[in-house]
Amino acid sequence: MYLLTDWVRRIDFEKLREERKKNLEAEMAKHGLDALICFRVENIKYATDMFPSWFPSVPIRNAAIVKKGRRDAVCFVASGNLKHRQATSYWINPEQIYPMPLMESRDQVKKTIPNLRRAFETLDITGGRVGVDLITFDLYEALREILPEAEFVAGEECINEAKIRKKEEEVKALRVSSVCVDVAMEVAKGAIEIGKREGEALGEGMYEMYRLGMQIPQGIPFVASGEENLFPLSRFATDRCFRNGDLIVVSFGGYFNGMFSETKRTFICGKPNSQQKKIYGSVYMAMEAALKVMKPGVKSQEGMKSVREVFRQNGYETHTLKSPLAHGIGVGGWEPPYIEPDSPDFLFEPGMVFSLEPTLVVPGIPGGGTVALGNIVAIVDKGNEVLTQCSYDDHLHD
Amino acid sequence: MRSERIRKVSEEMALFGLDGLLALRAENIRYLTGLRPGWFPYFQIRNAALFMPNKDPVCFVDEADLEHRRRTIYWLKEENIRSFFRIDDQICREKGIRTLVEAMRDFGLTQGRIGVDILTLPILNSLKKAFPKVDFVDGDGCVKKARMIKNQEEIKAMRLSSICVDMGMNALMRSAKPGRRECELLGEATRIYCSLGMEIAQCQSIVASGEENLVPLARFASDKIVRHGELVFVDIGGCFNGMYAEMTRTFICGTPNPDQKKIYQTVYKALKAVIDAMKPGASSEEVYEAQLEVYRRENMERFAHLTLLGHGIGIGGTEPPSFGDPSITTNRFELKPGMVFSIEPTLIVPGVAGGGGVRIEDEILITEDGNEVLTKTPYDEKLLS
Repeated sequence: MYLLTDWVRRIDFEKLREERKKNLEAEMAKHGLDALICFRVENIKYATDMFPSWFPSVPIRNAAIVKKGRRDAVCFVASGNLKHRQATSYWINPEQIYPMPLMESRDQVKKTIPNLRRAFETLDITGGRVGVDLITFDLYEALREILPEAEFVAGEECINEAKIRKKEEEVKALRVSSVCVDVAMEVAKGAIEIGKREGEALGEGMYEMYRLGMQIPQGIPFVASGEENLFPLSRFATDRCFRNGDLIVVSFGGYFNGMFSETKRTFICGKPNSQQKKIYGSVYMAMEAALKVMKPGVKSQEGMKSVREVFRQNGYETHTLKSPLAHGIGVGGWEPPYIEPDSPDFLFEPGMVFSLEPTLVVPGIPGGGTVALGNIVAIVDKGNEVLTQCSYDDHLHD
Repeated sequence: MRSERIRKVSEEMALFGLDGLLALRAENIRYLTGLRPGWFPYFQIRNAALFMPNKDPVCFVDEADLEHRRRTIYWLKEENIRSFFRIDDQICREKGIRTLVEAMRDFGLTQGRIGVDILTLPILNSLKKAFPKVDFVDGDGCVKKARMIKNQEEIKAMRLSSICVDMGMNALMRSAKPGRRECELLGEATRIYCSLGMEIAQCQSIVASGEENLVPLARFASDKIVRHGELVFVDIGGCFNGMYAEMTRTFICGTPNPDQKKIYQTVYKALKAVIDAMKPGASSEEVYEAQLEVYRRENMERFAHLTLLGHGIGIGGTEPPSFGDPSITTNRFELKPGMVFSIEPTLIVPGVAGGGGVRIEDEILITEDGNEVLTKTPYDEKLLS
């Protein structure tokens, strides 16, 4: 329900769909794919803009099939969503939206064969190189039975490549998601007080994200605090109560209106000690150093080097968390490209959007010595734009 | 709980003729190793497990979590908790596959039939290349079969999850009033769930209200403002302490009209008829039929949302077996003690002022002599009267 917005031009979703379609078509040609079958929700969203039904413990609940050179697609949606999607997905022919059972057993997969066959007939797919992004043995057998002439190949590389460079409308949508996670982070920050549990602080942030229309949280939302949960870092919220002098790492994000965003902040409960301030300052400087090099034409490993250099100068080189310094984010909460020591080098390009998250995990610090800061960074023509803007902790940072 | 699971899955492996299992799905990994997963809202391969009967399982965890997991997973030896990389991503695939291949060699799993639960084509090709003598086959069916009958400790855990789900529903219902948005109400429940230690929501939670979102049913929470006289349909749940639970309540915001009452009472009768039919030895068809009989009697069959009457639940949010329209659910099966189901009869009636969509859902455990309803949030008295 919009609030007084008849003069505002917001996101042009028609344009967004067109841009994605063009992009995917080009990548399919590059990867030599005649057709693409997506079972992963984020890929279905990208290929067709079908509203996903999220299900963390059920990997295959939806599908999308596209053919090179054709504008239309066939979508499979969870059976219970069929009528709703046919009535609301106005950019897709309702007759090309089919129901899909749970696909959680062999007999359910077998029951889907007639509809899969119908989908291939509708799109006139009879063989060729067909990319698939995820598979089970039962499903693979079914696909080979339906399309004996096809060569099934990896489909994820193609669509991952397509997703890397966000177009204008996608960046606009990411700005909106980032506002939502910012607001929620401020709420979680306000909930930090002695005696509150990690799960309770997380609950406040999650309430705010849902209030703003979040469909599903991003990744593993967590609040971790004190020496006990910060080393080694426990990446989920527990029943631990905050105590005076604890560092508290808050990490969460969500999916709003079709795009993920996330943010990480570290706060102090009470007053910090000098070591905590030094660690925090180092992570903050590392973030600034990375932002200086993240611009078009620069190699991604320069980002890695700049952060490593800050940590080295502060004596923390061996205390980084073994996870990527940055990962792509968009229709998926965690997607290529990655900036990490072993990943291949690439050049930053306008439209790439990263979750940049320098983290130090220092043992033996009273109150805990782990600091994570995370922001969403879009590479733009002239450099970069930081989409998340929630406040830092003034007690830890001057 | 863990040793019972190992015993159960070993038995099933013998029946399925499997020499080893490679699990890449979070809930199967947890079943085999006890690993609390780093849940993602959608599918990602972030962890893995390798299992062979009579050997300790090997658990593969995200590199960033290795130290934490080695310190906290006291039931596995340190060398059985290994670092893992995202193998569904082309950049790390090779590194991740190498880790798996090394462990399979350590295990002596270089020939025979190995079940894998889910994969990508490049993973399958790499595994086949590394182990030409291994016959890689489906492993998901075997673990799912083991998961169907819950052991005593799992049942205790499910009772706890059901309490948590009840508490979130209670908070949501208390905060519902005209003027609040559907998504705000979902936030109220989630706040409680997080404070009670929820690991992840069961799926996309539903808060749908009024005619606009009940017909056709919008299975999510939108920004729609709830108004007086509207039915509010709330289907929520989550994973707590390793086991999922979920429930649905539909309630009236304000005063119901006679059509809404009739629909609600019919669904209520259907739920009760189904619960009465759920006992050891009953067939899935009999249970499904119990619902249909009520709808026929009330002349409501054409409005029944028959896709899914119910499904198994436990370490996964939805797992076989399931009841419902035979064209989409699992094949006929017999109810056995230890099975746990989410039973969710639903009627979606168009043209009813304030909305005519009703679902009532409870968690039902099949016991030796009948069943036990694990979720206990009261039904709507205004709609029942």
